[in-house]
Formats: sequence, C-alpha cells, structure tokens
Amino acid sequence: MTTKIMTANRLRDGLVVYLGEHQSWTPAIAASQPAQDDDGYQALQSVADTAVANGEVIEAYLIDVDVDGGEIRPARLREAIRATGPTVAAGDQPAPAIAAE
Amino acid sequence: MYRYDEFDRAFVYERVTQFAGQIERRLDGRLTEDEFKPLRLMNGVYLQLHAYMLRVAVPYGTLSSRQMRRLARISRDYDRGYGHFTTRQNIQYNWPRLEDMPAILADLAEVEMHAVQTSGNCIRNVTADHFAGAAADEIEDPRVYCEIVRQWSSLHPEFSFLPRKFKIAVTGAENDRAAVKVHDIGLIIRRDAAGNIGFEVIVGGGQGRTPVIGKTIRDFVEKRHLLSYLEAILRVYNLQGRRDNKYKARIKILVNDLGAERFAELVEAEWAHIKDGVLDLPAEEIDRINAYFAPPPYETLDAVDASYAARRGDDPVFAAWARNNVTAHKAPGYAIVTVSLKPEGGVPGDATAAQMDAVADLAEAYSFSEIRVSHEQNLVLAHVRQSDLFELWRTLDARGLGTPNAGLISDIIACPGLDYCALANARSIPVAQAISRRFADLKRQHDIGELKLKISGCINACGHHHVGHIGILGVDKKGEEFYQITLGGDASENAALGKILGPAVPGPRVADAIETIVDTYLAIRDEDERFIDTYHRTGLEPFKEALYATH
Repeated sequence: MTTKIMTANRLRDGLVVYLGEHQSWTPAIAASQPAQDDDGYQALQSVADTAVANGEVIEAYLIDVDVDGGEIRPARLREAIRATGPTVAAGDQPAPAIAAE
Repeated sequence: MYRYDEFDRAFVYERVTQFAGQIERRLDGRLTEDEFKPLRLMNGVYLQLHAYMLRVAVPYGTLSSRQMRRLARISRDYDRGYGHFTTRQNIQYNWPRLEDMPAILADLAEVEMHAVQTSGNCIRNVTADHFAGAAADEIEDPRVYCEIVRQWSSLHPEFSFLPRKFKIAVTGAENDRAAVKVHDIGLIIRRDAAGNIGFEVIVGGGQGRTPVIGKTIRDFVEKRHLLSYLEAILRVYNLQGRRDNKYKARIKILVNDLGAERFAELVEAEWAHIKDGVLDLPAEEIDRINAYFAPPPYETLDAVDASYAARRGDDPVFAAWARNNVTAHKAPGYAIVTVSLKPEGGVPGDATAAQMDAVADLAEAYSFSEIRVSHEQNLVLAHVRQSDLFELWRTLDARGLGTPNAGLISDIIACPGLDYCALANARSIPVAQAISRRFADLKRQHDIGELKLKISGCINACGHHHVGHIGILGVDKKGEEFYQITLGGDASENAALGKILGPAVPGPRVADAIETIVDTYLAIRDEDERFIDTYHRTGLEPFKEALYATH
C-alpha cells in the first residue's frame, strides 16, 4: 500500500508540521512517522483528530510519500514545497535547493 | 491623502480589540477552528501553504511614507523582512504568527491601516488608477470616489455576507489603467453632453474560471447618485445572486443569466425606491472628501526641464528608464515615476523591508511623501519634479528598484502560485523569473516594446492571465506543471480576453515558447506596431504555426 504521513499547520504560528514519534509534531519531515496500511493511517488520523480538537494543530491530513533509503520525500510537488519552503528566493533569502525548472 | 476621522479611528481600533479577543479565545480553546475561520478571514488572515498570510488593505493603492515605513517595520518585526504587493493594490505578509496578529493590527491601526474586508464575501478594497490625481489624461481624481465608496462599503450591514466577494475599480482617465472592465463593478468618470461630471457604470466583469468583460448598464450616473446606484446594484445581486454554487455566485454569472438589459431594469427599479434618499451625496460632502485629495503644493515650473532633457541625452541608461518608467504629469515640470518591482529574475511584486524604507525616504524627498501601489505590482511616485528625476533614478537603481522595464515583457504580473498559495495548481514565480532572465537584455525588451505578460498559478486568475497580451495559466497534469498560453488579452479600455493558443506546454519549455511567440511577432510586425496590434491584425495563426508546427 501507499506510504503516508500526517501533516498539519501549527495553530499558533501556522507553520508546517508532521506527526512524529510519541504523538509529537515536528517541522522536520525526516522525523515524521510513516504508515503503510489502513490501520496505520487510522492511528495517525486518530492522533491528529485529538491534536486538532486540542487546538494544537489545524488542517491535518495524510499525504503520500516515497521512502527511499530512509529518506522521506512527498510524492506530490505541492507537499514537497510545503516541506522545504518556496522554491524561489524569499526576501533576502536565496532559493532553496529544490528550485529547479 | 485621506486622514481618518473619529469614526474611522474608532472602527479600526474596535476591530483590533475584537479580533484580539477572538484570537485569545481560539488559542485557549474556547473557539474551534470552524468557529474561528470565518472570523480570521474577515480580518484578512488566511492559512496558506506554509503559514498564515495577512493581507493588509491599501485603499485605492495610496500610501504615505509613514505608512510604508510601518509596513517595512512589520515585515521586519513579525515576518521575514519582505512583503508582496498584489493585483488589488494591497500588501501580503507570508509568514505572520497568529499570536502576533493583535500586535500587527495595532501597529497598522496607529498609521490608519487595517486588514478588514481583504477577504470574505464582502466588498473588497476599492482599486483605482495608480496615476490618479497626477495623470495628464484625467477628468477627475478617482480616489475621491473610491474613498466615498470605502466609507459606504466598510462594515455595510446589508453587504457583509454577499453571495461571493465583490470588487470595484474606478478610473478617471480615458486610458484605463485600473482594468475596470474586468471588475464586478467598474466606474469610469465621464462628462455628459452638458459638461457635468458623473460615472459610466459597468457591471459583471471578472476573471477567474469564467472570464467576462463587463457590460455598461448606465452611461451616466450623476455624482450625487453614485452611492444609491451602487446600493441598487448590490441589492439586486445580494437578492438574486446564486448561493448554491460558489463557482456560479459572482455577479457576472447573474448578469449573464439575466442579460445585461434585464439586470439594468432590475437595478433601475430598485434605484427608484432609494434614489434621493439617505444615500444622496451632497456636494458639500464630495467637496469635504475632495479636499483630502487636493493637489500637493506644486512649484511653478517650466513645462520641460532643461537639465532633465540634457541628462537623457548624456546617459542612455537613464534615457531608457525615463522612456519607460516616467509618465507625463498634469502639472508643468513634474513627472510620474513607476518604481519597478520586477528586477531581472526577481519575484514580481516583492519588496524587502529595506526597499520599502528606501521608497518611503524617496517619496519624502521627491514626491510629497506619497506612494502608490499599482495593480501591476509596481510602486509609483506620483509627483516628482523633472529636475529631480536623475538623482531619484540613481538612488532607485542602487537599491534594485530602477529597472527600466515598465510596460515591457519583463514587467510581469504573477500571482504567488504554488510557492505560497494553497489554491494553486502550479508555480507562477519561477516561470516569471525564467522569462525575465530570458529577456534580460533591455535593448531587446525596448525593441519588442509594450507587451503585457501575466501569469496565474490556477484558474482563479489572481495573476490576470486572461487579460495579458500574453497570458500564462499553470495547470496540473498528473502531477506535472504545464502552462496554457493565451494571446490577445487586454486589461485596458480596449478590454479583451485572451484566446488559447494550443496545448499546454511543460514548465521547462515556457520561456522557449514565449521566445518563439515574441520572435514571430518581431518577424511579422509592421513598423511601430505593438504586439497586441499585430495580434489583432493576424490573429492566432502565425503564432500557433510557429509554436506548434515543429512539435
């Protein structure tokens, strides 16, 4: 089955976070907790629902990822951009490595 | 410039207090996200791809130096040191924290700014010609009426929950720089046969997934009837606009379904009930608002400054900037300056805090402390002495703000696209950057001449691609970014919607495709013929042939 992880935005600052071990939310996608089957998806969803209800995060949803050599990479461009930030220079900050045509 | 009276001030501070309380209740759990979301949207707070986004209103695109400095400070203190100027003449911050919103909004209120009605199904920030009050081709300053509409529409109890968002634009000039024909209501200041000044009223224009050029439903509305006529339009729309399908809810759908004539009849019938009532605009009230927009204290100058002409002769780079970024002013010896936010390979519409401060300083030194935001995502210094243009340009250039490309192919409108926007299907900014770099040679750009290129990252068309001479729309094809190209759109008084050239092209090939289109134009144009005029003469075929025949 497809490997999925849970993502959301943190309520207080809106930043992108992922559900990691011990039901904790982390900005690092590498620390997210993948699930490979319906039971696993449901377990992630259950934790996320509680976190949404508690006002810890908002807009929680599962995303498809590819796991290659231990590296977790979002399957879709939208989520890749969410994970690494805009692909273009932002203010005085240069564009990140993902930027490519 | 308009200054808040006690009503404006009270309303803005009350809203800051109210929203601060709502945020507090959200953070401590007394409000759920479902309860809070409509409240935050009413205050311009969205959740985008990476973070919250705060959209701050810049009424009719006019700012003081003090306000611009405050926008810079907010970007430094609460964001990441930059802001994005939008096609509604507003500014967006991409990274504010929810818990900082009360402080940000209090900082804005101190300089008479807010974020109210920058989202939601209400009457949004009214936009205007960015050369208002300075343009040589203007009948009257449209900002006077924008301000009157702002006061009427702010927290209007009847129009706070319209079927869908509602956008109004006003121009006072024959040359439409405000894209009035692609707004829910477009107002053009006109003179009638007797010389009286009033408004042509256009309704039902818009872009998005159903682009429509607006239709004139009244050739002339007297000034004193402006608000009652607008109220009649909004009432008909509020009552009859669809609420069952958000994609069919804009006024353009209603006008199309009823027909413009029938819609106009309904408006006239409603107007008959409310005309000459409480919404009648007395001449004294118009005069009172008009006084805020009185011309600045111009010096008495010769129509043409000799030093300006000499500098242009001496310095070809300055001459190029003057040719593209300087526009005729109504006052002798003055000029209007477009400050480009489109440097080579830059992010269209973005300005760093340092650049915002620099523009504020320059406005103070050279333009009566006044700044405009254009819907084309540039800034404008509207009242500059011709004799100051050279020094102004040198300072702008040193700060990355002196690119001489206003109106040229690299002066691109681009929405934030998939780099920031939660609705986008594809990226816009990298496409704009690739085209900007491809046409970096300014001599080549000047040879190409006027060419309006506009890019949207989804069908919502925030990048105005439908009315670009060349329009580019990002689409998602099985996870890959593709871009549909249209030709022949026009946001001016000759408003037109672009026609699709052919199959969408993959992202990495967009700049090549645009170059092919431009090279085709250069090969077939008549002398001094603009791109859009060549298109009107030839249609799509030569461009289609050049782009797709070899594919």
